[in-house]
Amino acid sequence: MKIIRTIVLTVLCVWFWFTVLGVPPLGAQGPQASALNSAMNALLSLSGSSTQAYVARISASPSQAWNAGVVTFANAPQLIGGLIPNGVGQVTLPNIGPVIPTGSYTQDLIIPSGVPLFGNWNTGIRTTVNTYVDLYGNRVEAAVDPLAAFNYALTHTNYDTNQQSGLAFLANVLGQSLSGSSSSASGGGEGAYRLDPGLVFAFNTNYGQGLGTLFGVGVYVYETPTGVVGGQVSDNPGEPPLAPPSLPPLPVPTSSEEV
Amino acid sequence: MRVLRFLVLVLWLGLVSGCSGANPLVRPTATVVPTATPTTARLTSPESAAREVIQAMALVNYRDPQVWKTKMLELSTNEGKQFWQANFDRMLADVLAHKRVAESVSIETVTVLGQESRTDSQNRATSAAVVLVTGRVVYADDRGRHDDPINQPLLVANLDGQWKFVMLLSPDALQGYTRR
Repeated sequence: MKIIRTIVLTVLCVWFWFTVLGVPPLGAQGPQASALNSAMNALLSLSGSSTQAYVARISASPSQAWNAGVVTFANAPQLIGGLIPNGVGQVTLPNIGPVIPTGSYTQDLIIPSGVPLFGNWNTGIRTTVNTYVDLYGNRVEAAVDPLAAFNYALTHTNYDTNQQSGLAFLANVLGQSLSGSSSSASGGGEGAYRLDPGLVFAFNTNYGQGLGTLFGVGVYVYETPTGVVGGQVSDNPGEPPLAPPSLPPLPVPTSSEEV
Repeated sequence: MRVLRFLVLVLWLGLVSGCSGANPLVRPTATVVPTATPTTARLTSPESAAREVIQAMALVNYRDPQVWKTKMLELSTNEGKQFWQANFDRMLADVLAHKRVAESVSIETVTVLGQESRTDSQNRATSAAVVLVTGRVVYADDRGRHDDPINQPLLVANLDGQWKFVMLLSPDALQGYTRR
């Protein structure tokens, strides 16, 4: 009788612990939770005081967002890529050489809704991407503004073939995180909403993976006819640049650049 | 006497389990049918706020977009209000174009994926949480009747004692984290 009672009480206690007290089973929150916790941390710590202040700052302007990002990720332990000393507008890019400006185009960062009655929603972040060709006619695109760089990385996740380094890696990681898509007719308009927790999200997620300095300068991609794309992201002069992609000699150039 | 004590214990456990919210990570399915006057939310936790927001969001009716807008604004922080104001037109475009009416919403799980709190220099506590809400919505429009899954992460914050909506997050973000 005593043994039965002990067993029954034990079973009841275990049931009480998991069911009534609501203690989740081990591993219930998994890796998602830790990444999201990082995001929450950043969300609250960026402002130094409150979420509201953070949101207000981020929504105020891209440059505010940029500053917040710099402060938060100033101590990122690793860096990717080489220095782009002069930013968009320059005529010589590292590992590529001289390039000729061909125009620019804009994109909005659009996020899908998880409630099927609705379509997408617009972050209000609009990117200007400058386009170039190199001396071989290969296409080069560059976005240097921090939000532009971020946005660009989000919207170009399929170019990379090895997904191992530089922008390719960056684009894939960020793209996976947010899966933003672009549209040139989004209606984001002037004064659109600029809060971008995805930014915090992505950067915290990647903090330990060497992507913390994305905001430093910007990104560019280098697309060859073989589909190989090189890209760099950095603001660190001390970091050696990535090896350039090997290029077959090419006859001259093509035409169609998006404008 | 011992048997009596044992029975009392069992009875007590049963009562407590009946009154408790049980496991906060997963709540039982509840179907909400749209009504003319939606219940006022008790936004006392990130889960209840997220649940309320998604229910209200999904219960849209092309005939009264203003009611829907008002409700969404009501459930939002100032930043959440900005979010809606910037996206009302975009989000309602298909609803209006296809004469969409939600019939019912069932919430299957409400999961807090992350939650953090901070105290500022004036000792005011602020919390933020990412909550994933899953479920189904049944709705009709000029293309027929649909029964589709809901899978929406969202950001909520507690700034003044109540948890309120800040913004939606991309559902695809979760896939990225799972793979990592």
